Amino acid sequence: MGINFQNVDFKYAKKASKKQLDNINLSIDAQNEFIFIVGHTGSGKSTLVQHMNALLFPTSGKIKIFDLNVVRKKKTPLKPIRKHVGLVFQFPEYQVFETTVLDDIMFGPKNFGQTKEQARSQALEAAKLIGISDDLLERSPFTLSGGQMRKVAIAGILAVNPDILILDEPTVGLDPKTKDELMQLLVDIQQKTNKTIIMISHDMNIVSAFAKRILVMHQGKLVFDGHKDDLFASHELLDLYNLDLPTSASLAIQLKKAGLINYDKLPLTKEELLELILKEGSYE
Amino acid sequence: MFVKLENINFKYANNEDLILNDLSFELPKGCMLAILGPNGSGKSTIAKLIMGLLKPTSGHIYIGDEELTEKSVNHLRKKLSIIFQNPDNQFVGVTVKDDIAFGLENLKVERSKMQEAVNQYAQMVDMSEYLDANPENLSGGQKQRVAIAGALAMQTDLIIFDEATSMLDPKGTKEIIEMIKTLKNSHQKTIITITHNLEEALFADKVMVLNQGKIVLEGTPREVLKEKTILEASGLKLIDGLFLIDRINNSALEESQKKVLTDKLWELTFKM
Repeated sequence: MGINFQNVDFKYAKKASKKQLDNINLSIDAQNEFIFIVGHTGSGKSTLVQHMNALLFPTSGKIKIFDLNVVRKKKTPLKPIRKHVGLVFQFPEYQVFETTVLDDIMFGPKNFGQTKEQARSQALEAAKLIGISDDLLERSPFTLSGGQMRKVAIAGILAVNPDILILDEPTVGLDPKTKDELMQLLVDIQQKTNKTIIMISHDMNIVSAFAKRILVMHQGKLVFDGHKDDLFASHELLDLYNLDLPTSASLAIQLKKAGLINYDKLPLTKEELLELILKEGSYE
Repeated sequence: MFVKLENINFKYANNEDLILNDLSFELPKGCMLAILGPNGSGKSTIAKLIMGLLKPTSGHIYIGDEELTEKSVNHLRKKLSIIFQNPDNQFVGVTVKDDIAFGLENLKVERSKMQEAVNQYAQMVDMSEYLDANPENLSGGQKQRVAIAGALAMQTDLIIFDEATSMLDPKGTKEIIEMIKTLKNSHQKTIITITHNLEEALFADKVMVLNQGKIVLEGTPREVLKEKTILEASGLKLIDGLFLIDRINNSALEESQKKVLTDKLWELTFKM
């Protein structure tokens, strides 16, 4: 078991009436999961993932990360937990600070007690995984494009070699091509390393294309934990939690209404919709 | 012509590459231009040049009938406002009310008329309920709307949206896109929107694609957004509806089927 939440509540202040997390029960495998967390701004997505690497602690309930209990006690060492679960924040490029790309990526492993040589070798491996070419390594990260800087920041977390990698909206603000490249890289990393990847995203086109399992947060509660097909097939759920359909799914619904296609299972991506259109031709 | 750029070259330092390379375009008053391009294509540099925050290495910029020069910049800037990418970086007031009033104070509007004006502009962006709210409690979309109210309060003719939706969630993005449509249709503002969200370009009068500092494509949204090869070479891609049209047109379906399907997809894409 990688991550386990049992009846987890979280409030910022003890006396606050509003719970940021409300009775969360959740299990995430240590390997081979690709999970998306969706939900409106303020629904508790970021608060949830901050509990997964001990940045926040539950007000009540239990969290276990790789059999380590996450409790707020002065003497509880947090590094072992954070060694297992790496968290990449939103706009991580703002946190890049070293003078060279390589030094920036090495900062994480050094911070976890690796020797300079070990840190260097892990940083080089992480850079290779995320597609940072050798000629960038000695450059100042501040001369790179936004997309490249973001890769450097992600490499810094990968270099610690966590079992589970969490990314908070990694594609926001990137142009469409860079967005696709980054997503493909993350898929490749998942397949090569068998790491579990957890991602927060608002972009339903990305979620529908890449998710296996989806978690929906709504007002601090985990209201859906299941396969993407079951979520997107349910108008009630989408309406209830105010979630958008992927663009191609909306197009499919309109084409069906117009009598131009027919389907039993709603296509979610443009590729699925195209296949359907070409297979059936226009529906008579 | 309200905005005119003539043979603009720009680089930060003498020994560096050109960020903008012989760029010219014109935008009539009341029209909306969408500038598309990948990260680093020079899109935001155009905004900074028009705002007079940067000076072209060579070439001329005209706002209204006047050339933008060191002498005219302060007076011309009063005709322009800009909404930036990060909603947190442009909130100057302690409350929504203060933030909208900031522009009015700069225009030396009388105190007695200030309240009325604040109410009027807050209403235009649908933020009347939040006049006393602390910006920390607002969503990104709401903050951007307050920034738009501030711009409206300044009564500028040109509003530039510099990736104003790229940090927002889908709800915030929709709010701002609706706002831009209203400004264009009901307030007859001249608008430049700089974005890599192709959906934001669908309702522009004119679309321009920038890559490595050069205009590689320009025309109406219908002309530009179907140019698969050039868009892809510029770090962009066809939006789903136009992707499907492209593939259907290149498929083995019968011509009559192709037509029905692609007509419907065009209609849906421009309606969504």
